[in-house]
Amino acid sequence: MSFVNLNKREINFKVVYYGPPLSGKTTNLEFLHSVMPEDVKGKMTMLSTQQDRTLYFDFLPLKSNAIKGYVSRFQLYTVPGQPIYNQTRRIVLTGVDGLVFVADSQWDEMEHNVESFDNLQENLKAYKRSLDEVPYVLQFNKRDLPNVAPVEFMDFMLNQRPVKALFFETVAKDGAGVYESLNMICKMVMAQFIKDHKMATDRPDASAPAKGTPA
Amino acid sequence: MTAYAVSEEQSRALTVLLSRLTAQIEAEAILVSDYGGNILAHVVPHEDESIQTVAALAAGAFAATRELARFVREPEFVSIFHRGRESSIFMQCLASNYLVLAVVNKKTAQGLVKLCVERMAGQLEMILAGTVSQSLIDAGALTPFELDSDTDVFEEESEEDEEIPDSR
Repeated sequence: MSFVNLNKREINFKVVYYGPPLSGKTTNLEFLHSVMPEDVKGKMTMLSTQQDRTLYFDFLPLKSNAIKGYVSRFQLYTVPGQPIYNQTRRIVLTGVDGLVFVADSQWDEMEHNVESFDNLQENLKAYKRSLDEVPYVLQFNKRDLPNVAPVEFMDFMLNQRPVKALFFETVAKDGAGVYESLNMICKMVMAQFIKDHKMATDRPDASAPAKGTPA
Repeated sequence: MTAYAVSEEQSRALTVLLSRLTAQIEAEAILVSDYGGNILAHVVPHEDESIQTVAALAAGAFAATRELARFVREPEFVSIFHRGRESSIFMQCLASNYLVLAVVNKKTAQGLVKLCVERMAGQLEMILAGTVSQSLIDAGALTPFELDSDTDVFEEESEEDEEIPDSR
């Protein structure tokens, strides 16, 4: 759930990278951290096991001036992909504003992709939410590997909802497509935020506030 | 899910209370955030981005200990103290899904931090009451938000556009 601090003129958005184990979620954030300008990025934090597998989450805060008069803060999180950490995945989804589903394009991983996508929808249900209202994009990652499924097949497997999601072919370790998917999900999240607020202000009962001053 | 907001007046009032608390316990940093890690107000010696990370980690730590609390049939642990050699962190949950976090050095006694934070909790909660479901309009955001441009959300350092594969 996006949060606005009218005193500091800041808007916080939460974007979560979700997907099966070893699909490249952490690699996405590592690449973004390596290319973002210093004044845009904060410190990247990784809560990992000794084997560098995500234990809790990775976190990367980014700043943008995309909304007039406000600093937009995008808080990027990953979830641990391993099945035993489902409770952690559910916790990280609290108040999510946008999702990037990182799928592994290798044939052998297709079952895990579908399981993880189903798991995402189950975990959203715990918050009475669904992909019908949470903006999301799909990443078909590891496109540089030889044993990958065709894009059409991945689209068929993961993109069968009534409203089709945008998808990106990516190679997260080289950064190909990573920035584009982030840029898109951030635009979608902001568009949803602006639309929701406009609908609220257009309502006839929208009146002067009890506290504070107009933005 | 709609956004929620804290008004200018509420944010200022929180900052006043946090400043007072900072003086009482000689805190190195202090903040109030929601359970999602969004900072409502903070008092820090140097303004930088690390405070965002601290809030995110604190929210994560609280969420994890809430799961632990369930094993001992508690809805959540009301406070957590992480004691270090030089600096320590005290976190206390407030009503309505908020928490207060204080960083103190070894000169400040744990009991004093707990006492002062608990004493101030009521006043903080009075300001916070209702904010968790406070709409942007109720908080004072009456004019529409606008995108600054249709270009990239962030400025990128590298220029490797040729290698980016087709995307839809």
